[in-house]
Amino acid sequence: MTKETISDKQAISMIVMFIIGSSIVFGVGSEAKQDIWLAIIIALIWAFIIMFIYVKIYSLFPEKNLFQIIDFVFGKYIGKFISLLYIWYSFHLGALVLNDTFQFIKVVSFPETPEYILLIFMGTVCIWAVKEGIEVLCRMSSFFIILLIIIIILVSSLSFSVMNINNLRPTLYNGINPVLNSAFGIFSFPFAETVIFLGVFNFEKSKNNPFRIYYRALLFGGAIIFILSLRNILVLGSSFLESLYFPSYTTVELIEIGEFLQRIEVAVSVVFLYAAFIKISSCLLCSCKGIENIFNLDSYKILVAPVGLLMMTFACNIYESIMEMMEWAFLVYKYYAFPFQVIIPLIILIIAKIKTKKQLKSI
Amino acid sequence: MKFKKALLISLIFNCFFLSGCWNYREIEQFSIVSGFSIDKSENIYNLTFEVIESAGGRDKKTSTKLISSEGLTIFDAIRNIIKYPGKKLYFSHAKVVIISSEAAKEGIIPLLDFINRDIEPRYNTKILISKNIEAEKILENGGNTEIFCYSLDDMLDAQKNLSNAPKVEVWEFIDDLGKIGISPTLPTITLEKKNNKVIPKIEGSAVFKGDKLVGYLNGSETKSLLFIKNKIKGGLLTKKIDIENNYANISLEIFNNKTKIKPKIENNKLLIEISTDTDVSIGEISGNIDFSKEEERKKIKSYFEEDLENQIKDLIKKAQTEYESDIFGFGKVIKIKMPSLWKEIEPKWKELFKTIDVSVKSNINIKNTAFTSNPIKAGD
Repeated sequence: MTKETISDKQAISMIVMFIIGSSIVFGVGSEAKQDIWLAIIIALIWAFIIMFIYVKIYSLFPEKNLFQIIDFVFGKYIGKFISLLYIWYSFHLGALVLNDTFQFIKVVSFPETPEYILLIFMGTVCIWAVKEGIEVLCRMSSFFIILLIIIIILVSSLSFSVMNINNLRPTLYNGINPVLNSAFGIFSFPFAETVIFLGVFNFEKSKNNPFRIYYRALLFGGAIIFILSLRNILVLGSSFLESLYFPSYTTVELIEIGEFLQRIEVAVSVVFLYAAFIKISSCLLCSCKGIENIFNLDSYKILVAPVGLLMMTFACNIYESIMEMMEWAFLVYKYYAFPFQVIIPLIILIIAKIKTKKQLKSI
Repeated sequence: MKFKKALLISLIFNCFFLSGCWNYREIEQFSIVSGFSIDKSENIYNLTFEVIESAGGRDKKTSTKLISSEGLTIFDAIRNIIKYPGKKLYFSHAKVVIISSEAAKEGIIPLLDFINRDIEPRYNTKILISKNIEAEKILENGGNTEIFCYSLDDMLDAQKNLSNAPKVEVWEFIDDLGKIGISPTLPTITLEKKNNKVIPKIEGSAVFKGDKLVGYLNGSETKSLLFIKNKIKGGLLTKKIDIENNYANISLEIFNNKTKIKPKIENNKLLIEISTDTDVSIGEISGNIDFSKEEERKKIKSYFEEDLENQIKDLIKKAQTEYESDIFGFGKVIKIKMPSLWKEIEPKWKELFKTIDVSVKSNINIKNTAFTSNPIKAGD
């Protein structure tokens, strides 16, 4: 297998795209109402702490990915089991995002197109991209992120005219609890989902600095989520926002500058599709690498097509309706994801620390 | 290699022919709706749509026609239209919805749900209430404008120079409806006979309590309402004034207004302080008051200030006693400025609103006198 090399900048843009992912259209933490900005800041602080674990794991085992680390830490049998858990997590997450994508397209633009047509188009591109390898994905995201940021800044600045500062007040009216609750939701979706990247990247010690990559990406992605959520609440107000599935889309729909500049909500869809594409591909890549490691295969590339197809089928059948999806995403997901995002990485880090110390002593 | 190239070329070539949506539709298969009206009789909804018919070709022409249909729900009525012209309606270009007051009295939420839920109607569609008349009649008397509903939309936009009716878009209305501490208002439309012709007239506003229509405000009351809500963008203040037996009708043109609402506790009682700060110019004086002296200007100013204060007070009294509906959003302001107090009074706000004390302070700054410095004089 040829070594794939990526630069820090490319890795950062890939993680940022991943964070923007599906959160850009679904909006995050609407139960915090007008205090959503506070919830995002709290979630970011938590995420910064958790990132420390991820980065530490990376720096203990440079040039290894999550599954190799798990094998080393837990031994052969338990390691395989935990690897399986992570493969499931990333596979499931990929299917979720794939599901988000076509639900969005279906509701917004193509209500009469069969779901599998939308799925096949998105899924095939993802399979292709993952087959080409991490380098291609990274280069693509470092290119597209410029486009996304231009669109986001342009569209957000156009909505200044419909903003109302009173939508943010009063602060902390319902106390801190709903804010913390929604901060937890934002933490698990999308910030701590970056745990996937432990399985995606094999950093080179000489070239990459995981600390810089993770923290810059988080700061950048967090800032984008913050700006978008703030814009949505400023424009729509909390009571209207709560009833919407796609708040960003509606916010942009309200932009009307004269007779000529209106109906630019398609811009949101463009951003979403690019970001979702990167997110799905990362998840697919992660689960393929995990399976490769379990079966000691030479290359994961042979797995991409079957796993991708499975993911597509799974995405198609995972929920009956968008209501079920929303219930899962906003009520259950944060508890379901917590072990994968926090508990297991923490255990890995602790055991790894002990083991490496023992090794040092024995020498 | 050759095969790959051929495949690539054929794929690119196919893009030109196989592009587009799953089930693409030509524009002729649609009826584009420019606006529609909703009436309700018993349990049946009667909807009338203004549909744009465009004829292509060299001399492009647009004309409209009206189609009505009925159904158990709004969506049912919309689909039932297929029975008549055989085309599916397309709503993304609808700009105005006219709702009859009778239907609104029974509750407006069932009428708006479709617009809110479906992806085709846009959130910035504007809502009008047809006062004491079937909404259908308004569309029928559309007059000779090219697309009547679009001209209604323009009329609502132009209201910012008159301030006799609010301009309310669907999303604003839904947001106000959902909030505690504010009741929504909507502009009203009626028919009036003018020059032997019946023409529509947009004036005044409809007052809601919860989602039910409870009453109306006339044009000047609506202006006061807009003053309180800080939504005045323009318009006139007109009054007959007498200074030392010099009578004159004066119009002031509003250029800028800023209203502040401040809740306050005074002597253990809640007091709402409203202060307006308006920049105006003297637009017209029909009389011979010489306002070059500061004294006179001050008099004009105080006359108008007092007048505005009284109008605002009257309106608040009316809302408190007659409609018992917080259309000004006082509750919302209290929630923002005094959240801890609001928690206490929220359950009994409906009762409290009826008796709450309000003080009004208006300030009018006469910035200029337009083009001339003195009124026209008759020299004899």
